Amino acid sequence: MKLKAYIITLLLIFLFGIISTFYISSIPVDNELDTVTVNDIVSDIKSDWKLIGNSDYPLPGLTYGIDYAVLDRKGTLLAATKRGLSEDENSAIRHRDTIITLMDTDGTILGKVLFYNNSNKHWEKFRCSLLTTFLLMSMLVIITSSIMLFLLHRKILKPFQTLKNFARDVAGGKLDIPLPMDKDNVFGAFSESFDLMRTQLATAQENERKANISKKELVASLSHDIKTPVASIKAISELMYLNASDSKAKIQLDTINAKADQINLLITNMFHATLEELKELKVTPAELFSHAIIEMIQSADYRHLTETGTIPDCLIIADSLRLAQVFDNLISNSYKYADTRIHISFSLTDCFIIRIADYGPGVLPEELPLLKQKYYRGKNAVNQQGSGIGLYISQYFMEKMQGSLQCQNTDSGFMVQLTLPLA
Amino acid sequence: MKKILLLSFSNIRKNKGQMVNLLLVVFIAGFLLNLGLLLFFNFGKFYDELCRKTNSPHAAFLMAQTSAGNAQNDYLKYYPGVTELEQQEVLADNADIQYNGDKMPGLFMMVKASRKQAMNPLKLIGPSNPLSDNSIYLPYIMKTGGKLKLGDDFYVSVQGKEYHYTIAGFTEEVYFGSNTIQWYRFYLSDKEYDKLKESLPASVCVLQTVRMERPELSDRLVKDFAGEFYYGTTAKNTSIYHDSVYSNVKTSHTFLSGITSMIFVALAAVILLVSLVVIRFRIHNTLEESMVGIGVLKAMGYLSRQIIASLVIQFTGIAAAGILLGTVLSYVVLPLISSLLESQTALIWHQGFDPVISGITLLAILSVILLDTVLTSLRIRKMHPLTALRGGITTHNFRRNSFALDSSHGGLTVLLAMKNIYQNRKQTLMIFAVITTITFASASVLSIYYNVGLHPDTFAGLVAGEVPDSVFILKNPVDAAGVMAEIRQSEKVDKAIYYTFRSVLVNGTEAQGYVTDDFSLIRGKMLYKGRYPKHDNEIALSGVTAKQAAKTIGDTVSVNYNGKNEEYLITGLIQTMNDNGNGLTLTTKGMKRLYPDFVSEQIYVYMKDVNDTEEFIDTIKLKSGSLFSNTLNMNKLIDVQLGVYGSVFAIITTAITLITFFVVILVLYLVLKTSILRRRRELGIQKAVGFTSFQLMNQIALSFSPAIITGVTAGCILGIYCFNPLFVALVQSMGIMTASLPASYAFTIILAIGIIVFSYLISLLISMRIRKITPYMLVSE
Amino acid sequence: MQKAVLTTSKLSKTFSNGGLQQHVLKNLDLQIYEGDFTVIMGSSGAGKSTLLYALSGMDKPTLGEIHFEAQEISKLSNDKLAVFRRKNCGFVFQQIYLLDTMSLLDNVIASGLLISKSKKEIAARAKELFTAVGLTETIWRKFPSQLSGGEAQRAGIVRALINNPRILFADEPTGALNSASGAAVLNVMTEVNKNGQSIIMVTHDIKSALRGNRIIYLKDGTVCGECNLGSYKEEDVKRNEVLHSFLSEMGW
Repeated sequence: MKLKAYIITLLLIFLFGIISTFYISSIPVDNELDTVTVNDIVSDIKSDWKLIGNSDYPLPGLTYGIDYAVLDRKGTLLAATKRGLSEDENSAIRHRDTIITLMDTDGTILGKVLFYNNSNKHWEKFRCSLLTTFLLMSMLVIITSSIMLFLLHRKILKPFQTLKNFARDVAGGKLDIPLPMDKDNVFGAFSESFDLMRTQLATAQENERKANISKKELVASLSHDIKTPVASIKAISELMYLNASDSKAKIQLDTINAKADQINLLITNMFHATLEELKELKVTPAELFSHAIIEMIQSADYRHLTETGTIPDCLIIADSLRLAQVFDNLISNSYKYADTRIHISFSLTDCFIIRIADYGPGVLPEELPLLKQKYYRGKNAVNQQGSGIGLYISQYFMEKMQGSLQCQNTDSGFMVQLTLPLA
Repeated sequence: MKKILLLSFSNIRKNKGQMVNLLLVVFIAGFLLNLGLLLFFNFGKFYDELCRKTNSPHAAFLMAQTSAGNAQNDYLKYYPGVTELEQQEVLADNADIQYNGDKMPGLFMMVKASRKQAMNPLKLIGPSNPLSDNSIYLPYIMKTGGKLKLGDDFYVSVQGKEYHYTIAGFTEEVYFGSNTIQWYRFYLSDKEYDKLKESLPASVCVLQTVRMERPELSDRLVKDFAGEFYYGTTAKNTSIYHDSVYSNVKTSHTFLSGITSMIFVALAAVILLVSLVVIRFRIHNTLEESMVGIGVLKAMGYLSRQIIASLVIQFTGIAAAGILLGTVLSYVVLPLISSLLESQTALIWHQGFDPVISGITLLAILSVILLDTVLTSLRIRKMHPLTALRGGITTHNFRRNSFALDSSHGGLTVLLAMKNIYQNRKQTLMIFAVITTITFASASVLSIYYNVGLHPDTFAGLVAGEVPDSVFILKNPVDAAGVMAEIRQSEKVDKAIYYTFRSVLVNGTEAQGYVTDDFSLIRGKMLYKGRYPKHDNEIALSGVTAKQAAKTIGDTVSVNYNGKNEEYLITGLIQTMNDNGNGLTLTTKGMKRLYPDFVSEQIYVYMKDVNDTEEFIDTIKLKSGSLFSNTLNMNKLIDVQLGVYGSVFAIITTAITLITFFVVILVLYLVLKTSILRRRRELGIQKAVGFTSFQLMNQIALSFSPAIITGVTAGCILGIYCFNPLFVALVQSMGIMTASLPASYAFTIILAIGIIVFSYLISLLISMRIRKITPYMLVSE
Repeated sequence: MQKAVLTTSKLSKTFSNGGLQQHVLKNLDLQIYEGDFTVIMGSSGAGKSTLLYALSGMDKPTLGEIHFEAQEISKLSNDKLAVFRRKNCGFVFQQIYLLDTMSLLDNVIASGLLISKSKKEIAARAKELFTAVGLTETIWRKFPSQLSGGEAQRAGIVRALINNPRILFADEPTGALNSASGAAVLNVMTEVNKNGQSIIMVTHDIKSALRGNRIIYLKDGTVCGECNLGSYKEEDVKRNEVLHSFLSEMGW
């Protein structure tokens, strides 16, 4: 679009520059004496020969701007257009002046005209014109490039700046400031999507906030509801304790009391913990082209150990961010524990299946069911860094995407099988 | 193929009006181009052919019998390339010849009709009477250009004496019969011839005519012959000598047809350009309108190239039909044009069908149109059937609301018109381009007409060189000083100068030398570079001569006259249309270096008031009439001579102006009709809202006005500043290098106002169909 | 077991709109059987028309394959698709889209000439078809703008059938018509179907849907459910009941 215009302008300037350079260099330096002018002057002098030297006689051809001096037959100076020219034949020769001998019609010599050699002046002029052109060209280049820079600034950098500010605002949680759309729409669709993202983010945040509040309320009311009967149990058991005379019963009632306290504590803890987790690991599945998985694998596989089979084209339901995290986890696990090539194959049945297999030692069969537990670390992980949470989280993500994650040992190594639902 | 034809025809049927429109534009282009090409290529060919058929001479030499001898005859006979030589006795002299109701100076040549003549034998054109005593046969030019009729009285005045004859017929004169060379051949009965011979003994001459292997060889022959027998001795030899060359004669006959043909071809190019723009516009519209149709065709399984082919067939078919019709018309009109040109060409031209020229016309226009159509319709390939079906709607539409009604100032009609313009930028640009080109074309032609037909002074200067108000030619140059003093005494005279011609040789080429004392006194603008000669060793050459001698300003050139060679310094370049553009200027002093006894025998007089000329000439003649061999009233002479061109150009100009207006109508019709069709819905809504038909008509007409006004202005400015170069381009081959003809501001302004008012009225008229649009259409559509 | 004419596998169509992706069809695995009067229903924006145009080769799918019998058509070039369409597909549009520069007969012949070389044959077949759909000679000489919607649509059907297409695609053929003309058009289609013509029709009109023997219900770009009416006679009241209960089950 606009780029075309820029390129054409640049090319035009370039062409203009080249043409004017060639033009200037091709202009012949005008250091020749104009024969027509000289003839005019010489003829006039000849016809007015008798008057030359009279102080009130104006020399002919002054308007031509050519300087000359007139000598008589003996070589003495009769007149000159100005002082300081070559005033005798010798100095004229030294100065490479043009010497013309004046002859009468019958061939007698009248005198000589010395035309002052002013080629230096012409060179000066030529240099001057060269300089002016060069300066003009530079000005032109500077002006156009400033205009282009200005346009670049206005059309690209400034929108980027707005975009940056916008992104900062969004990051800072200010989701109610809309992104202004630029008139010329260099970023039309782009900024529109950005703004769409902002509004979606804002609604999502709002929904989440509401959900959290309602969850908290639910938890609060539940704990309240549970705490009330527990408090009753406690109160009654304390009352019974006061009324009891039997020491054995007293001990039992004491136990009931203590257990009631424990229940109270457990309920509170449990709800708080779930609440925390739910808040952190949100999964939002959406339709996704299956071949988007390739990119995820490639970005996770920074050591380029994977080989992928052909991927059947279809639409799957997944959260691309979370799925990418799953691949990150699985592939880095394989790097850590197997350090072999990784073969990834895909198949399509009722759901989309991804098998990630390496050629490492696998895990001990008795450890297999424990792998996906929170904070579990295998025996071979002693020397490796990690917290033991990767597979657990991956499992959690996959389930949130209505998929699954299964681990198994194969003949050649260890394999993880992911399933994803189709759209 | 069948299916493509089916599509094409159905499309044509639907857009009948616009197709007719296109047909007309192409028709005009084809008509003009064929006409121009026929004139350009065939007229010259026709002349050559006629020359061959009538066995006309390729070169002619006229000498006084006293100076003619065997040497000349032998020289011609043994000159290489000469195939035929004829020698005959004639009576010839400079004379005033009756022409177009006035007297014109010229060279007459009386011949015995009874004598056998091998070259261009006597052949009568049209009705004639047998030659009796006191009757004469005139060359055909005297009828067409001289406006003389059978039975009229005709006279020549030789050496102050008038000889009257009755016109008995007109001859087909191929060689001696054009009004630019002014060397005429008349036929008399034996008795009358002898009578005239007795009264004009000094005018008995020998005419030698020559045919050569190729006509082009004659240039060389004439040059060599003149160099051999004439230039060595002329100055002393006062007797008659004239020569003429085939190429000059041919140019004099074909000059007007050449200019006319070039105007036609140029105009055809302009119209062709217009038709290309129109076609582009049409195709874009067709694509837009039939977007859904194209979608359907694609859905049905038509290939893109089949749809493109249907468009191409549609447009090239129409174009071909238009060109053919135009070509046919051009053959019909050609005799008219040819008879119009007869006043200058003096030849009756019958042109049959020329398949080559017409083929070129057809192919040239058709291929350009084909290319245009294909290129424009290529974008069909990119159209997806589904997008097309949905009318080409794309989801994102960021178009701005230009000239928002709430924030802009101005009347509602004007603002809506502005919106219109903004939304139809391409269309506006098209109107602008078309109007500019055709305004330029017609403004230029108008200015040319103004300069050639109405105020020919400057143009005459171009043709003739220096044009004073009156010219006095003395019998004996010795009397010149006395006459000059007498003339200068008159109060009516602004200035008077000596101004004479001499044929000289420059580097072996013959050139007419114009000699005067001081060139700062002359009125004409012959000079186009450098300066006129001022000193006796200076010279100014015509561009053609300088080119032939390969010299330029600042060089010296050798001039030969009267057997003497002198070197001159070139100080300037001049232009002249005479002598194939060969000419030069010398000061009197400079001339005297070649021929010390040189005295000017011509006096050019410039009056204070042009209207006094006739009276002044009479006064001078009364006093010393016997001293002059001729006196000329130049203004009258130019009117007579250029009147012919004037009438030809008047007709051409009228035709071109008419074509201009016609094209304006066509283009406006096309644009307005599509515009209204396309906006029918919108107009219906506006009507429903309460706009009147007249408001809407005005709104549409107004929306075209800016494009038209700027186009007309641009065209007129171009016309004023560029018609001189254009004119020079037309006549450059005739020796004109630069022209500064004054443009006719009055004509241009009248034309501009005419086009603007006319197009506004036409827009209103065409947009009358808005009245038929009713809001009801919205419901039914 | 019926023979499948069109088979799609994991057919998906995504429209990109200013950077936003809209998945209109999702992993459709569908078979269209020869001789069926297949009706595609669904709420607005469910992807009915998109599916129809993808099946007919008017538009290319984003993902997945479409087999016309053994031929894979989703990867063909635009020109090849055009040739495919002229041989195998006939189209009936809601807006009818007759070329208003031609008479009805010419409209049909323009389509017919794509396949056959003989104008006579086509004209004969066209006249036969015109008669079959109940259009008289005076009507088929007219131009589209002079016709009622029902007549124009019947002419549209004639144009669609002129090349004996394997499948007749109809995109809401009665959408722009009043009920009487709509019924006439539907009658023509039912009649044609009885003679063995496979039809795929998109509609959201229950009366039109009743004419089909296989109803496919689309929802959010996937097949939500399918209902077979083939076992019921045309006049059977149960046909209506079955369809209604199917549709209410689908959330119509």
